[in-house]
Amino acid sequence: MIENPVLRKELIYRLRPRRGNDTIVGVLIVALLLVGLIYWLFLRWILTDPSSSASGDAWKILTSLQFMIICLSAPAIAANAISLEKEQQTWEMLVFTCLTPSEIIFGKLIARLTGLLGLLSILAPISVIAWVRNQLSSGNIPFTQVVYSFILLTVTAVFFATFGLFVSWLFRRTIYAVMAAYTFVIGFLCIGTAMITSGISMLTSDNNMFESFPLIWMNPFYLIAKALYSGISDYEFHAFHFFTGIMMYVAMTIFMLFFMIFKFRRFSYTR
Amino acid sequence: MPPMIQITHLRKEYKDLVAVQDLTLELEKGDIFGFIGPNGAGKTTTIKMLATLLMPTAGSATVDGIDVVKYPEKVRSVVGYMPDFFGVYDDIKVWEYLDFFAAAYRIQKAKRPQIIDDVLALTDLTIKKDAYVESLSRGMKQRLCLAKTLVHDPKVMLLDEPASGLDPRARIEIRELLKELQSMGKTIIVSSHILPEMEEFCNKIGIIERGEMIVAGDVNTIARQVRGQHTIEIGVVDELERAEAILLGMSDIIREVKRTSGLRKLTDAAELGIAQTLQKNGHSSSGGIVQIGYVGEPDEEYRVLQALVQANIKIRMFHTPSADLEDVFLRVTKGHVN
Repeated sequence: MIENPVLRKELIYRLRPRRGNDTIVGVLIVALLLVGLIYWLFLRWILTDPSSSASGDAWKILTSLQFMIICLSAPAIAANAISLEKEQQTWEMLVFTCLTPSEIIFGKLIARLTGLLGLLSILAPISVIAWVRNQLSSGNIPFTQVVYSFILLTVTAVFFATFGLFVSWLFRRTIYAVMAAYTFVIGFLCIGTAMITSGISMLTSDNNMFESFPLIWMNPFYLIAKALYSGISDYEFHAFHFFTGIMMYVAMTIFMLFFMIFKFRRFSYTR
Repeated sequence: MPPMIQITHLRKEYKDLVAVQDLTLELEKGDIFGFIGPNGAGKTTTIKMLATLLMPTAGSATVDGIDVVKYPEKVRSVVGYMPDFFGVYDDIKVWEYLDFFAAAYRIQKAKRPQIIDDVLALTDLTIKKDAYVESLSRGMKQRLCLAKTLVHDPKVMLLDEPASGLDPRARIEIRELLKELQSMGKTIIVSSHILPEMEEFCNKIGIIERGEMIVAGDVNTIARQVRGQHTIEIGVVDELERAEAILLGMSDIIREVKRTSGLRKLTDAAELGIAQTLQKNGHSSSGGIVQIGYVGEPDEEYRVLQALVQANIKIRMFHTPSADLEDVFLRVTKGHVN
């Protein structure tokens, strides 16, 4: 069914439940309780709140929650994909096989994204319920907004996971790869871009500078705010900003993938 | 037919460090080449360059006629590589581990079960087929790694310290396995520090120090080159002194003559028993074994035997013991490292 051996190994062998592992069973029970609690709280809110905006607010919060999960987990999930193999001394034997660099890279990436998708899909049903309920009541969440949010979630997940994989490929130690991934995603994209743009805006005393400076268009929170809260009071969508930000993510993802595949030998092998 | 492995003026530099320099070597199909050298001599670097895992700074290398720099993917399909330090995927079973590598070497799914059974049988791991890799002992993991190396039936095997860190039993198992591979006609480069074991199955050796191949070639030829002679052991039933005198008289082809002392091995004890029996039957008790340093042409060794036989010396043994690699190694190397 799955032809790529790397993908197959990661998906089937690594994700299968281990023999009598009490810790994993414990974690699963806690996770199930947590998910059950979220479902109960949101369902109660969506179905019982008489306010017409309740379901729309619930959908926005759920989407924001999914976005937070992506920002916090995607870099870490992928940052150990290759560095862990280097630490376990299995990497050299893997790259010595007849597998092409793209098979190894995409096998690792898709496996990690599948894990992330599994995490996000937990909240997907309630998110759909919230949106359908919204359409039946006020209908203030247009379908385009759902599409934009979906595009943003997908592109961000792929970009952050690719970045995690990229640093995992560059570094020999997982700890450094994870640190580099979070420094970039949280330190630079989330905080750095906002601080730099604010600083420039203050220095130039130009209030419009904040939104018109392209660096902020790369900020994940700016993008999710554009996708979810546009149309509220004076908060405009700025399609150009939004899609430029998305395109920057796509461009960087493609660049990293090409770089890894075409420079595979140089960085993968023992130097 | 091109040599199975051909290395020509291979060189590897790391900034200021020259790890391997001007290394030239040719190995034919079926050769078992023992790569000997102190730590840091350049053995692993050389093996990794052949395994396409390191880019040579200069020179060239081919495996089965395929250039390792130009066609690394093709080289990998004919080479099995076992690194000196390796890990295994702990979270999978033994057969899954082998199935993964078989798939990674593009072996058809339908053929994989049989191949896995075969390599497990060869490495004596059949009983562990369904065990988790993490449950294997170190020796078993070493054999599993060898099994993995064999799944695509490589023509050439590059084994970097395959027996390092193993207990004596596991080392013997690996040694037996290498002999089995030798009988299968594989061309093998094996690096090791355990020189007496290498003597048993290597037909060629190369001694490397500070990145330079000091000597390479047939084991006995090298031993002879290094010592300037090669040893012949002669066992006589009696009249040892007279035999020694005859041998000393052949100074044009014999450099030194010395008696071996003590019972070197079990067979000597048996031979001593024979000598004692002969003594009871009226023969002289002065039998024994004498070692000579032969410096003549290899195909004229018969002259020594002929001289003794013509002098009516009763000979019960005449053979060339395997070269003592440790002795050769110590004579050739200076203990320098990079």
